[in-house]
Amino acid sequence: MTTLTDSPGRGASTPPPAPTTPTGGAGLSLYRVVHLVQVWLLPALLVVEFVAFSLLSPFFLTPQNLTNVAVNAADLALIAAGLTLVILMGGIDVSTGFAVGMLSWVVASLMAAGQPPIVVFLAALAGGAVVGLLNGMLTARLAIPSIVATLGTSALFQTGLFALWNSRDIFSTPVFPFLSGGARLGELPILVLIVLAVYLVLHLVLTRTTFGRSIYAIGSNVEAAKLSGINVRRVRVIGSVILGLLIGVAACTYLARVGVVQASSGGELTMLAIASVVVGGTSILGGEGSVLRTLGGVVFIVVLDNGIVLAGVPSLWNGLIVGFVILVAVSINGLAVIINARKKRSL
Amino acid sequence: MNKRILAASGVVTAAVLLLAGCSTTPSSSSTSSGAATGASSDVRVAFVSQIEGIPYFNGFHTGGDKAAADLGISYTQTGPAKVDATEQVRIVDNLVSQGYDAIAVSPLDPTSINNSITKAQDAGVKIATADADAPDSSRSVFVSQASDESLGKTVMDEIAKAADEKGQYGIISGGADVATFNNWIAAAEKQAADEYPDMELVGGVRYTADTAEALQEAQNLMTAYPDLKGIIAVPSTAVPGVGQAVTNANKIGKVAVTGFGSPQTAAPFLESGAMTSTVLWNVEDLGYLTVWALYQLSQGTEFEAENDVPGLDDPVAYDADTKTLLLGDPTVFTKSNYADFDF
Repeated sequence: MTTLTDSPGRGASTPPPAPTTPTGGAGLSLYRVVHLVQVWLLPALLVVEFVAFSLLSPFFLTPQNLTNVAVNAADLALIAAGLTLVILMGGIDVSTGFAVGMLSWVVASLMAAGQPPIVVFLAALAGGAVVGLLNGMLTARLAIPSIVATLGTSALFQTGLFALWNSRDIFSTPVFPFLSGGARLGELPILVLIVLAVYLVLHLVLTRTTFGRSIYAIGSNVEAAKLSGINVRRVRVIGSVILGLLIGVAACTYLARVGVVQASSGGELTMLAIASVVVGGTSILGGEGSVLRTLGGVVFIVVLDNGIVLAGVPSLWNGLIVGFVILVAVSINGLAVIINARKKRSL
Repeated sequence: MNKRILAASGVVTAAVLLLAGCSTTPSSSSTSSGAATGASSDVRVAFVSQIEGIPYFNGFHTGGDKAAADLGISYTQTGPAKVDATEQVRIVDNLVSQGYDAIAVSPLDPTSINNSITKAQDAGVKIATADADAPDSSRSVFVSQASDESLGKTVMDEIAKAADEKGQYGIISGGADVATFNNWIAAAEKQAADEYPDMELVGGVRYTADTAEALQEAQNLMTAYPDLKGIIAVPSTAVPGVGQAVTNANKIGKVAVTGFGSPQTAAPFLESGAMTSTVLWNVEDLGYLTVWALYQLSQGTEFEAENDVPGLDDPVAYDADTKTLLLGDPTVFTKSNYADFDF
């Protein structure tokens, strides 16, 4: 079995010298505790969140409010799903927000130019694929650290949006009417069902296919993955392209929801997406996590956003709670890595 | 070997991209020279906006260009691409080292700009604030669009009128550290306290970063307070977000929206009725007045209590105590007149 600590480049973050006295027994049980916390932190937080908000506001648990929240979360959820693949491979993408902004400008202009919706949608997908391919090539082919590469592309996308937008707010109707969340199947907006379907498919891909296993293998130990015959570069690029395609879809849902593209459009999604993945419990170091956890992370963050207003709490608290939960999640993760290393050494 | 070169060139590319991004993203500028006929055509003045490119500051630019042409001087307008006070300070410092004669700035943060203002004056550059002030700084003059008090008061009057002077209303603002927004809001709340005892602010002031967030906050407010009568959208990013939220919730006519959006940004919502009005000033006139004032500063001319500015209809008042030039009263834009304004 390979563990996180084996991979090169992480040595620095793993703990110092092995303890002189074997702490195997204690370490093991501590490991179990940490592991349990790791697994149950998010579900517990979600329960606390829902209970607290439904007690604090009579409007929280209404179908109308929950649908609003779900529809508003669609673009974030799509990006976070794709981002999970990238983070599982030990990568990161800080360009997602402005990629959405730039693509939604393209979508809005095509709509304004009267192109047929299906053409616009395909253009959004194609644009997303190009964005993903660019990020993927920079990181996988040129071996640029993903944070550096995507910081660069993020600046490009932001500038691109700024230049394209050129001081004119573009207003647009949704590409497909159901993207605005109005169309329902029973009680559920079709948009939300689509998002859930994306998660289900990605979950199956990650757990049931060779490609999915390769992603985990790369994130756990990239050298071992290479040795076992995985085409690491290809898997990385495909991961980025999947994220790109989802960004393309997200651009359509973003526009359908907000209805206007401005110079700052999409920008805030970058950090929210990373936060969703991390709060969900996917390891920022890669190799461990799942899209379903990310879904939980998305729910936590958007419900917090909503509930805090409904409960009449100043918005300041929102950032405080999200920040605190991120730190707890990351600390637990780090703790697990440390204990894991200790356990291995003492065995 | 080959791989290493590839990797190295990759890092260089990324660094270049990053640098390119850093230097081009945050600011964009354009210069326009006046009809270089006048004797003073070597005078160069500049204005640093809060965020360059939005229709509002474009309107400012149009007015500034007109003044520069009339006065025969050169006018540059620049500013950060996103709301970023540190970036704005850097831009001001750059302009100072480029040797402009007079610079005006609309400070995002009234305190962090002070150092730059002092340094500029030490370097012999005349500094004014326009559109937003840095009251504790040593700026020579503040070119004010309309007082913050009158703007806040007017927007409150608008929302109260739409709500028949009673009921709950919400305020959706921009960044919590933007002094202008906070002053408008304080003035609006004061007007409510003085004149409209039956109007109740609910949910506190909601701070947002962009359109999508404003939309979400507006939606949340309408959910939390089903009897909500109106929403004040403070920054121009919040205006379309709030308008869209009211439209999505089918609450046109039930929840009145007003705010400080430029007429063009508010246009679709004024048209559909989702917004009842938007309160602002004639920003082209403000740009004109700013460039005129910069020119006076560069020439060392003192302002009078009443200044006849060629190119503006009304005389402009100057308050010597606060060193403020005041453009005039706010303008209320509604469905019937927004189309006359191109900003």
